[in-house]
Amino acid sequence: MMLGKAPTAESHLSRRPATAAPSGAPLVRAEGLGRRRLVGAFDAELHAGAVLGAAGLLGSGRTETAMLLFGVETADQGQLVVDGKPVTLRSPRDAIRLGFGFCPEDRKLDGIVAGLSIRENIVLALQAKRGWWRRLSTAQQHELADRYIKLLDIRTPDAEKPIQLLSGGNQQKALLARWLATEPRLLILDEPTRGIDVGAHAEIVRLLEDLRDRGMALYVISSEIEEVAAYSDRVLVMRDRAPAGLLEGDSITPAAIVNAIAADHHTQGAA
Amino acid sequence: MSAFILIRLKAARPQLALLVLALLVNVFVAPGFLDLRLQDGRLFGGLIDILNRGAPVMLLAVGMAPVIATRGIDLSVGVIIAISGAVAAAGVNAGLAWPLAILAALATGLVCGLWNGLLVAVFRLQPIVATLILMVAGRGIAQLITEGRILTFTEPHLIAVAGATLAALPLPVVVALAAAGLTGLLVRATALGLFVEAVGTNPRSSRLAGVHTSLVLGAVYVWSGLMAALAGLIATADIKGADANNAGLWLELDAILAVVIGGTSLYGGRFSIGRSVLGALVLQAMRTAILRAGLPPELNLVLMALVVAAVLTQQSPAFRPLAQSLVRRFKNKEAQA
Amino acid sequence: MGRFVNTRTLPLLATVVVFVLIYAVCAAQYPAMLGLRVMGNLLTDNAFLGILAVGMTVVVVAGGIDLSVGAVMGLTTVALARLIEGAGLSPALAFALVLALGGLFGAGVGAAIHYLKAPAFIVTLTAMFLARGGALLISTDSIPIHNTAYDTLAAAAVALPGGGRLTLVAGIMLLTFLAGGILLHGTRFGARVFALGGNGHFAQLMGINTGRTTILAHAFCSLMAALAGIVFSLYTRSGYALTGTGVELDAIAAVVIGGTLLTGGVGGVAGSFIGVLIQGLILTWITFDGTLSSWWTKIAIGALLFVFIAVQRLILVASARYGRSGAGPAAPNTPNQAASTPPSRSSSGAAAPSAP
Repeated sequence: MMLGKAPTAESHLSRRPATAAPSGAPLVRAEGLGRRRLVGAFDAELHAGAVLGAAGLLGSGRTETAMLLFGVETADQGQLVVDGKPVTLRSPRDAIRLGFGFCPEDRKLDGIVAGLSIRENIVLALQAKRGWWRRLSTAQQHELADRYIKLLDIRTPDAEKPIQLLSGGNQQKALLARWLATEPRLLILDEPTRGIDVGAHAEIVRLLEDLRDRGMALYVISSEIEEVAAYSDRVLVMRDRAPAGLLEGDSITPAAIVNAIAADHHTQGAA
Repeated sequence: MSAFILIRLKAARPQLALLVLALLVNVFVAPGFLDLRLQDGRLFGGLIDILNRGAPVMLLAVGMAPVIATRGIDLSVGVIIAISGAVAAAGVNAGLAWPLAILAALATGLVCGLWNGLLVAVFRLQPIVATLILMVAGRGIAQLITEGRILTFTEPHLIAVAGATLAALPLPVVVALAAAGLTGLLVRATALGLFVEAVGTNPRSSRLAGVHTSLVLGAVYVWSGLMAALAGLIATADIKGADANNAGLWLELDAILAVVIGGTSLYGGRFSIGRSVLGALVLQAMRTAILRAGLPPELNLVLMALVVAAVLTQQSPAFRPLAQSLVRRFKNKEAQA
Repeated sequence: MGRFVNTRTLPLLATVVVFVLIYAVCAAQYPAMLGLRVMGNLLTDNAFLGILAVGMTVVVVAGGIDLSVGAVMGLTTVALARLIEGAGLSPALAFALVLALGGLFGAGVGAAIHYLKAPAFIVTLTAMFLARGGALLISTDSIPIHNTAYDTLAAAAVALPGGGRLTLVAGIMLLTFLAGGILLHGTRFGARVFALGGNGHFAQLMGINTGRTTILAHAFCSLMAALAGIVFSLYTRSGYALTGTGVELDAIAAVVIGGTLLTGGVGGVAGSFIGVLIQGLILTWITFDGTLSSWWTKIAIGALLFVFIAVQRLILVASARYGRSGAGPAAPNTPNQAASTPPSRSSSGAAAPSAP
């Protein structure tokens, strides 16, 4: 099948039936995970084939939850349970070993390696996972890069172009390709559709839905509330660097999310 | 394979042109320069001489190139030459068997590299600061080992490091070329080269993509220390003594210049072992030409400065658009005429 | 926290403590070192280093580094000897000429750094080769200077109580520190230097002409190197091309030991003065001891350098971790902060392994 190319118009921005909501043992469970001066303790469950959305204002602690889940920062409270076993993530490498992937918010600073080619950017995470000794042969790298360029429809004449010459949307797709190449079980995406043209935007949303349907667990942080409401099975709302609520099933509506984000401000206004 | 070599040669055109230019000057000032003759199973001639004299800087450049590619710098290689040379000399003088003395010298280089690597990778000091510490203290440590004297020795095997012949070539040439080949293989046949270039270009992204950045950073300094120790053995064997004051003095600069001439950006990223070796040979050919022409050797410093200034100008982001607009204007004029 | 652990004051405080400790050890062991006589000699012997350190401080605070100061100093001594002995110029005219040339040389270096966008250390390294090579091309031998005015200047001194002498050379050094302090902390140029070193990108956004500031900072540094050359030639009454080989390292060490951050933006000349004195004290102590060999100086300075850099690093990490927001700029492993911190474009940042 062609990932992200499903042309069903209604799949975009339409809620799935509530019966598809996740059940059973989660792949990853955060229990009171937090780090002093970074983000307050939060709970989260990530299921295979389900999307956990994260909403909140800028600086509300959304990105910080992703950093703890991916080992960018090490949690100093609570615990993370993966496959039913508690784990400690000391670095992104620990998370990658467990089958996690992370597309960060700032593509330029934290995502692409500008100067290296699209091919090198795509194979980087998989190569890092294999270790320095087991190098992917040049042929394997080309095969991998060409496959994902075609699969995700990355608009480039060839894989050897420096990645910084691509448009924002195509850079984002290349970063997604970097993680898909590692065949992750959980993909964490921080603002995957920010600063991207409308066409690529829709493609990426469709791609996320496809990945979910194929059994991947997704954690999507986004400011696009309509979008979060549409594809999420649960929504974690963050406020002031701490969790402010968890919406589930039919209670996930854009209005409910906005209410949860702004609740604090209402009470402040009343006081 | 041959296509691969052709691509590499194409990328090295500026360095090859510089080298040919410097060799031509040599031919011009000393007509018999290109002659090679075989005597007692060893090749002699101007080209061999340049390879032989250039061996230490070639080794340093081989170690320095990956360091610079990680956006780093190793200022301590000159003193590592002095320290490792002192260790080898003191070793054989204290009755240590020569293989052990050589191993001790190499181990010294490793330890120095490890120290630098620790400061840069774990302590996260700026590389220029981290390696400055050893650069300042290192001469003192070398003098401590030699007790301030030039430590001469007569151990024939240690002297042979600089004097022996292997495959009709002086041993230092073989060692330097082998080290270059091994390093090239190590970075290109494994994923290390990709990791080094990724870490040098964007350390944050690399870490998030799962690259073990601190290990990569540490490793390049350890390797640089090892290469410097090899260079130290050759330099010490060459004068049959360890000179803590002068061994390797300013050679870190030669190594940096060789890598810069080799086209590696000081802002990290792409690097090439082969082109860095060519850079070292360019420097040596220049030096030899000045000596053969009977010019004051001091001129070499000025010439080196001019070459680096030219390379920096050519590499600078401001120069490219300027040069391109000049070329365009020139072409327009031609079209009008 | 900020009141007690301050990135600006703590390194300087540590320097003063170390100086007092070393001085106390020296004085306890050799009471003769306590006198103004030794102090006077200390100032005279390290006058050139002090002057170099003033210039180096300005460049390092601006976020750069200058490896060419030793070579410029050497070139100055040779040029002076040639101008006075060969061309028969009066010392005053020769001084003016070499100072002007020194300033111009530095301006050229600064311009190359700014316009070529090349790392400061490689440009100044090239400048070092140029200056050293030029000096050696003028003369490879030491040229003695025979000039009565010169002898008078070299011998000029104010008597200090206790048999000590404050020589003209030492006086120039003290005045240089005073001038450097005023320049760095009391003028708009100084404020621009701090802004440039703190964050070149922000400095640009604030409307500071970064090119002009870089050029002026390097011009000042080379001017100081030329002045150090004059002072050194007064001290030795000769000119020699290899004068000052490696003193750039001593100058940098003095600046770092003095609490100026090599990353730029924080520091001052007062600390550098104490850094110079610490180096001088160690050397004097080793001379007094007699049994210790001179190489212990280098090892001791290297060790001090390490300790001070480590302390600075720890302070930076601590202030980043326990700072106001808990998300300081120094943590290299926090990707979300990048959005609010544009990459530093300061010239020394080039050699850093990670974004500062």
